[in-house]
Amino acid sequence: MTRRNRILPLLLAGTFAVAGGTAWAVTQADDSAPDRPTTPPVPTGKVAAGTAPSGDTYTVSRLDPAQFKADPATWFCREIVTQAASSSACDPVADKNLEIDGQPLKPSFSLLGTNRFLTMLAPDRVASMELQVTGEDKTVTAKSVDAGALGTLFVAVVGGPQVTSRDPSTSRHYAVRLLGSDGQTLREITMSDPGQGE
Amino acid sequence: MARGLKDRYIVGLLALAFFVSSVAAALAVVGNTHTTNGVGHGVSNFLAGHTYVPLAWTDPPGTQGSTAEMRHYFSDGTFNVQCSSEAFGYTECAGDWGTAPCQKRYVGGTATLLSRHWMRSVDCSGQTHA
Repeated sequence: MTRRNRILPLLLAGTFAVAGGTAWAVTQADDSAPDRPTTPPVPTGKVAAGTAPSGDTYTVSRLDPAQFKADPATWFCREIVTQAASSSACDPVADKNLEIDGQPLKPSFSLLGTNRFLTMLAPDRVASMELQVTGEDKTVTAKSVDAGALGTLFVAVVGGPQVTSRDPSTSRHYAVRLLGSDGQTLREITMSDPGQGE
Repeated sequence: MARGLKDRYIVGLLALAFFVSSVAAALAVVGNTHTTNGVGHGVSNFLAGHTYVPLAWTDPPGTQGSTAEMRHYFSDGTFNVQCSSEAFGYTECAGDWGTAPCQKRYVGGTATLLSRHWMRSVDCSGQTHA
């Protein structure tokens, strides 16, 4: 066997190994956190519905965390649908310090048309969640809906202006307060509408 | 003669392997999606009720906070936010093509990485994701 004949099969095997390794690397997840599903997630049950401040009806439905490769013991995945738009995301169980892998806990936020939805799994010791638009006196108390083995899912919805680059004031700020059973504020979280990034 | 044939056979196999791996890599990484610094993001057309809808998504590794926002641009460069979503890990939002099917734009990413991509309906010329 010539040297050339020995090298060519090695090159062939090496090429396949590189291709296989690349394919494996780009399809692997780092952990059990939600990843993009490979097919459209199918709702497995409605958990909340109503009429949003815009007058649009909305539904919040449970999605199987397995479709996102997330651990069902620690993640609640949901879909929110309105006539204008929809969104999907997952809410994690917070640790005793109200953190997620060292990051401060905050609700998932969806802006659908002119309606703002916030969802969060109720952490231990937290009895309710309320939301206040910065600069306004009125507060909105989140609905508490059954999240099965994961406890309670808070769902809050508030209206507002259409967020547009023509008027920066349409992007508003919010104070989210997590309250204990005695009404005491255990944690305050500030959030903002999107639309201000480049 | 036989040895020359064998050499050409091996070279042909090598070329075929290179071609297949290149196509596979292109399909995995490009398509309607991108991965930058380990963060997947982009747009896609999940079939929803037999209607293709514009869908913006961000898929970071682990539990990083991520955002996905879909903007509806006007000819003067201003925009309305049609939908947005913010969460730990994967997040997405979907709207409709409305009156500007060629002027939708994804903006999203993580705290350390912002990405922007035009997305276009199948009725528009050019790429569906650019």
